[in-house]
Amino acid sequence: MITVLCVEDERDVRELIVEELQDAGLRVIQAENGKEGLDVILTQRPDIVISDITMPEMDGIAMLGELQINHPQLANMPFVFLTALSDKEKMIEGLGAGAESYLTKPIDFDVLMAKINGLVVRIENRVAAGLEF
Amino acid sequence: MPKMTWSNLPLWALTACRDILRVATSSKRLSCILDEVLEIVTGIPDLDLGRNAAIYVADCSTDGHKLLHHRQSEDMTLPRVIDPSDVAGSFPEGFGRTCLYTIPLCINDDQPATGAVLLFGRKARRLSAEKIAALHLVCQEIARIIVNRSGHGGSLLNVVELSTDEIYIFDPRSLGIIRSNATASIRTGYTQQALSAMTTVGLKVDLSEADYRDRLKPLMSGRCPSISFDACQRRRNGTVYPVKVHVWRIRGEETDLFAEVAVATADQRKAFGLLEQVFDAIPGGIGVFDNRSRLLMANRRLYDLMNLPPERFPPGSRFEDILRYNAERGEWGDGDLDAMIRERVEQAELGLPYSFERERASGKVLAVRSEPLSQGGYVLSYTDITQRKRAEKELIRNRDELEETVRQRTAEIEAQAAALEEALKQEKNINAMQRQFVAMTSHEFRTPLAIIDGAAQRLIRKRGGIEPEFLVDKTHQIRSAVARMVELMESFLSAGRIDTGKVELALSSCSLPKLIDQAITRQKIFSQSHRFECDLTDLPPVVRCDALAVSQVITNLLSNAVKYAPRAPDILIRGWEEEGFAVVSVRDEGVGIDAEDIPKMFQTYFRARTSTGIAGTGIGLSLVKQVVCLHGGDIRVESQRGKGSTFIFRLPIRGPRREDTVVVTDAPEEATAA
Repeated sequence: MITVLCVEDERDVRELIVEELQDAGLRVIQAENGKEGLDVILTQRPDIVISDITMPEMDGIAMLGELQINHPQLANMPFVFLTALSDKEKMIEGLGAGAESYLTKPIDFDVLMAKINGLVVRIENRVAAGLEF
Repeated sequence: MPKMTWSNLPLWALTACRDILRVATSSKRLSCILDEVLEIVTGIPDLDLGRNAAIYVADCSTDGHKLLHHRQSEDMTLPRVIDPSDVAGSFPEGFGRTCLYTIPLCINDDQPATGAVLLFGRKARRLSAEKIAALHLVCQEIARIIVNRSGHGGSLLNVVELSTDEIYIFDPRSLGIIRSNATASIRTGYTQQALSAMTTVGLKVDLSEADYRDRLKPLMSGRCPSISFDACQRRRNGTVYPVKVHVWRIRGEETDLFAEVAVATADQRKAFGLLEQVFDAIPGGIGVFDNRSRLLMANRRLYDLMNLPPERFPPGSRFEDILRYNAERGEWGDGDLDAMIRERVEQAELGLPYSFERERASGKVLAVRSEPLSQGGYVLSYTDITQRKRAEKELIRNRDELEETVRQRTAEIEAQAAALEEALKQEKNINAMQRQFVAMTSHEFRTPLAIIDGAAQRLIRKRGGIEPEFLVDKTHQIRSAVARMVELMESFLSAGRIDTGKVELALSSCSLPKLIDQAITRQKIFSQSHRFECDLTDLPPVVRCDALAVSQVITNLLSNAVKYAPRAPDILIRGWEEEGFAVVSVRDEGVGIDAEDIPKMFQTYFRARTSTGIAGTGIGLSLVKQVVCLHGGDIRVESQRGKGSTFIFRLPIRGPRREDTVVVTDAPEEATAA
């Protein structure tokens, strides 16, 4: 079963995303900020990470950077940024940090789920082919 | 001694003798003749006499020879009298180092010596017999000159007759002229016969007989061989002319006679007068000093410039005394005056040109120059350069002023440039802050929008029927997000109003505790994880303020406390009264603020470094401050990074004074219920 980590400081937003993912039959784990998210990634090894960017303690881009530099074995983990920061510079920064996708709020659940489903298919195919990521 | 004749004399001796004969026949004074003779003798090459020589003549009253004439280039004190039988022994100890030649003075070889010529050589050198013979001949000539000049009959009379100076032989008792020469006749206009019936003093205009006799006294007593003084003589036609008078005593066989030589000084005076006039016409002060630093001549300007009384420093005054006079008047300041004077005199006597500038006590600046004279002595010139110095100073001052002006202007321009650069930097900062503000504002609006839109999408996408709880939950999310947006918009609108100065405070008597309670209640909806602890018992019950604006202030501080303390749930709100103010503090235990960020905390768009990763627009606190200030209150923050923050604001209980705010309107009392 594919596990998705949702990192989001806004409780209501997080709740909506989690519900949506759970309805799609995915296992969901949660974190309130980047620091917590990093802990969860290292201990629970989710298959996909959906993360906000603007968060206290550690923001989403810093979390991804931390992962890329200090934990390169996890660098292939698909990272989807879901943020209210809609400016182009931030998008370039996020994708440049190694994110799979950069989606902006308000959330379009159709687009979000299409992205997640695409990733799920890819991961399942790789696992079937005996490839680790 | 070999017999020498004129024909077999060596060339040098012949030259010398010819010169002697030439001067002997001239009308010069004896001392001048002897001086020239000795110069010739001592200047003879090969003798190496160092130009030192002395002539001693036999003195009837003693056995010794008396010093008659000498010339010397070296500093030697010659004995006044020598013993002819032991010439060397007549000289003091230490004199023997020089080589001494003694040549007897006699008219003919067969006559006894009437004196001796002493020649002083630098080193002992044996003179050849030939040279000694030649010297003897020269000395014979000297002896003849002396004897002739000393009144031995006809020779003297010839000389007297030929002289270009007036010569009168007179009886010292009657002052009657016994004999006069041709020049006297020509100069005075009287015949020699007429003159023989006159007295010497009778020719003088400015001397009474008593005065004249007075002047002759040293001669009468035999104290000195001759005297000199200035006088004026009257011609037969009544005109007057100045003369320098020299009087000698001529020893006679029975009685002594006096000889008066009157040297007309008119031409000299004329020349000298002209020189004086020229001297006085020179704008600078000029003083001529001899080789012993005695003033020979000075122009009036010198006395003026140096403030010297002319009567006190006539020609003949010592340079040293002139210096001392000025030094003792304080012209040279403090210090060892003697040493300074000595130094100046030594410098002057060194015979080298020098110059310096000196500021006198009066402020006058003098340029002093010394030029040595070829025959010893020096000319000092003093130029008043006060004006020049003043002009120089003025020029320097102008230059400095100009430089200062340029420097100031440069500094001003640089300051302007710096100010411009600073303004540009600030502009850039503001631009950057505004960009950040736009980005954050967009973020702030998008977040509640995301909740509303997300909840709506969830309602649509919920498969298999919507349970009532789900509906309630989503509706609740939507409403709280909408409330959040309204609040956000309110704060923007307020900021806009305050920025454009169009704020109107709707003042009413409000209960601060009530406003705080309401704000906490609202805040609790969004921040269920935080606990709000209140201590408001000391707050004054009623404060005159704009309820809505103050409510916004409180809400802002509370939401900040929650936002910047995500992991510290305790927020403490306290209220009290002090000095007519109601004071409210909101304390959190969150991220805190860096010390250097604290002064900027209330600037529009500014966000502290510790706020990284926490959403915010940077207008909330600036708005809070403006509202508080409009009320005539103030706000401050106490914080440390990682140690939480306390925001404390004060509002005057009686409301703002008129001048505190732009527009104050009194709101109807029912607004208090808000």
